[in-house]
Amino acid sequence: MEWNFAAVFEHLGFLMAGAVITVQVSILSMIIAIVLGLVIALVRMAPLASLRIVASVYIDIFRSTPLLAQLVWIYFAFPILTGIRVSPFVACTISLSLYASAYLAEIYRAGILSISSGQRHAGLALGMTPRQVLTRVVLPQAVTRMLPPMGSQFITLFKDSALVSLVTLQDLMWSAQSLAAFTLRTVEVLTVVAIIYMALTIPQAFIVNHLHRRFGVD
Amino acid sequence: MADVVVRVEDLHKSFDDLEVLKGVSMEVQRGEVVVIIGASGSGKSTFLKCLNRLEEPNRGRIFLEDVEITGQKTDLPKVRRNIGMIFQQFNLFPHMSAIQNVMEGPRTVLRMSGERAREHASQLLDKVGLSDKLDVKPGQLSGGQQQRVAIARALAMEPKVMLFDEVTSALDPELVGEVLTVMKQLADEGMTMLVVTHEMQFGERVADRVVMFDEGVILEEGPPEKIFQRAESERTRRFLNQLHWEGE
Amino acid sequence: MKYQWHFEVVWENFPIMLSGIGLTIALSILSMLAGAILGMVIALARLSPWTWLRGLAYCYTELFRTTPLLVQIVWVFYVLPLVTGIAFTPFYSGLVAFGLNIAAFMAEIYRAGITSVGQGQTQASLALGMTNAQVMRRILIPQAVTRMIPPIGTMWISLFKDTSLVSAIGVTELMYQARFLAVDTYRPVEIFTVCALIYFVITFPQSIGVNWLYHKYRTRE
Ligand SMILES: Nc1ncnc2c1ncn2[C@@H]1O[C@H](COP(=O)(O)OP(=O)(O)OP(=O)(O)O)[C@@H](O)[C@H]1O
Ligand SMILES: [Mg+2]
Repeated sequence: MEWNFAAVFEHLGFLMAGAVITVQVSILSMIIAIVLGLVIALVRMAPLASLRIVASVYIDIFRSTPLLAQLVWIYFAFPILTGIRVSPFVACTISLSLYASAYLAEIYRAGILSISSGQRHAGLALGMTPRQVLTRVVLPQAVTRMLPPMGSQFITLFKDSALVSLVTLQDLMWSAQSLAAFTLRTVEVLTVVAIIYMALTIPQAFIVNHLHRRFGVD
Repeated sequence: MADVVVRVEDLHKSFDDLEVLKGVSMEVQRGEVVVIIGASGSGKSTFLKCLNRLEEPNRGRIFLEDVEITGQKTDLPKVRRNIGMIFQQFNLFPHMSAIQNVMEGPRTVLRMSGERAREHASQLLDKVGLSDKLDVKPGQLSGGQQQRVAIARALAMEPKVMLFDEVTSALDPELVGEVLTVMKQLADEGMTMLVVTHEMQFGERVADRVVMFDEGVILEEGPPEKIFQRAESERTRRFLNQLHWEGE
Repeated sequence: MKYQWHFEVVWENFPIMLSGIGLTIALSILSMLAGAILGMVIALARLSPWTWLRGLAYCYTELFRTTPLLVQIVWVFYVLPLVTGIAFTPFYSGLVAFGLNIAAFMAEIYRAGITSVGQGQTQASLALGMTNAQVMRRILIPQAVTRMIPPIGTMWISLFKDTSLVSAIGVTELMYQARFLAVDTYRPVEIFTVCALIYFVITFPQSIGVNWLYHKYRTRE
């Protein structure tokens, strides 16, 4: 075959507009997921067994079904069920947030549980309240352990966001597919898009590697 | 008598900018027991690891029974099977039982038959006092027992010289004796040994020669009586004094 | 407003969904096998003494780890016939894409497993006179295997769910059938709900199994 990138470079601006959507939807979803995940993690460790079960069912549902199945459900089924119409951007953001929040909740929980009981005992022995033990002793240590897996989770989310193209959100992948249809230079377009994704992901991977080296436990 | 087993000439070794060995020369006679002492970081472990080329020396030459082993074309596995090494952390293979650990070298490296290797291995484990632990995994053994298995594992290759790197440092005090006893027994049988240790009593009773390392060079050496009682250098005396304190 | 559920359409079309499940499972298993084998080659390359080979293997894994899976799948789908001159069915291009992708992740699992065994083991083996290949075969790999099993389990679960992406290139697996039926029956709510449920029913027990693996091999250390 003959490679011809001219058509792609001519429409690079079009792809970049898609990339902006990709970045927006990823960052927004991550922010929501960070908060939502924390709530779920706390519920997951609540004193009440019924609450714990609710949280764990939530986590299991979102982790044991494909993101794409969740995405089409929220995009196609949810509006019919509730009568609420939302834009593709909102539907995709919700979907990615819910999905990532289930993983983040487990990251939070694992981080907190990884702090040995010796640390807790030492705090209690000093006369701290359980709450003080959590905020002064456990969390400061747990947070540093959570940072590396949270970073990895963001990279996963960022790459997974390409799925939103399948429900017509005009992100980078969607732009690629429509530009490919328009220019008939599918392979060139996809190659350039892969490079754009790499250019966006590699710095993130770099930071996450740094976090792993700095804070990783093993 | 000039039956030299190991000869080291002007050995240099650096890690990046850090020069750890700055020209070490030494000759070890057959059957001789050389005890190496020196402060932490003085290059003792690095020296031992250069001898079987687990570390690559930057300069200098090493001979094993008059054959140079520092050349580019040296067959390393062949050299190493003639040099036994025992580590501070035992480094037994955790997925193998005691006897499998001892058989591993003869089986894999020397291609000995399973039957012969097993017989030999059980003799060696008997020798180090572990005939009742043949099929036990390292995880179930005490530190002292693990270290004795490690000695048996090295002996199984019938090495010409054995290197011991602080082999009792990771042990609880009450387990040190059983390992030193095995080492003394080896010395009595005429094994050539280079022993990095801070166990003074072992040095006094077993060593033929004590070598003091300091910042990558040999500061002084001599028979144990001399080094331990009448060391020439102030540094050696201070080092030994400190050891006595910690030994109390 | 109250939605009237009509699950009949699901039962009427269940054979179609079942055929989709079969394809999902087949694609997952074949991809895993292909990836496990190719991954081993790449891991060995990454641990090899030659810098250029290590670099090449590193670029391979990074390429597949830093681009979205969907991009890889679509890319392979279009590039494969151009490069090979052979027309691939969507299923086979999906298999190639997943095989290449899984290989990159498996290579990292293998490598992490091997390097986690610890320097002392390598030194002790070399000191006995083993060759590098013997150290790998007799000492490192046997110890690394138990450490690799849990992450391989996690990888398998992701793979199983991710096979839904090949619906984008027309592989008629479960997700594709669901999307087709949702349009065909005008009943997206029921179809997509049942589709998600099917994935859940198959995946959840496996997740429990993988958790158990983590537990088992962690306490063993
Ligand atoms: N692989 C390595 N890379 C970089 N530096 C090293 C390496 N191995 C050893 N060193 C450094 O070389 C110096 C000498 O180390 P060596 O282990 O030989 O000392 P030692 O005399 O055995 O000390 P110790 O009594 O603590 O075992 C130390 O400063 C150490 O930090
Ligand atoms: Mg040392």
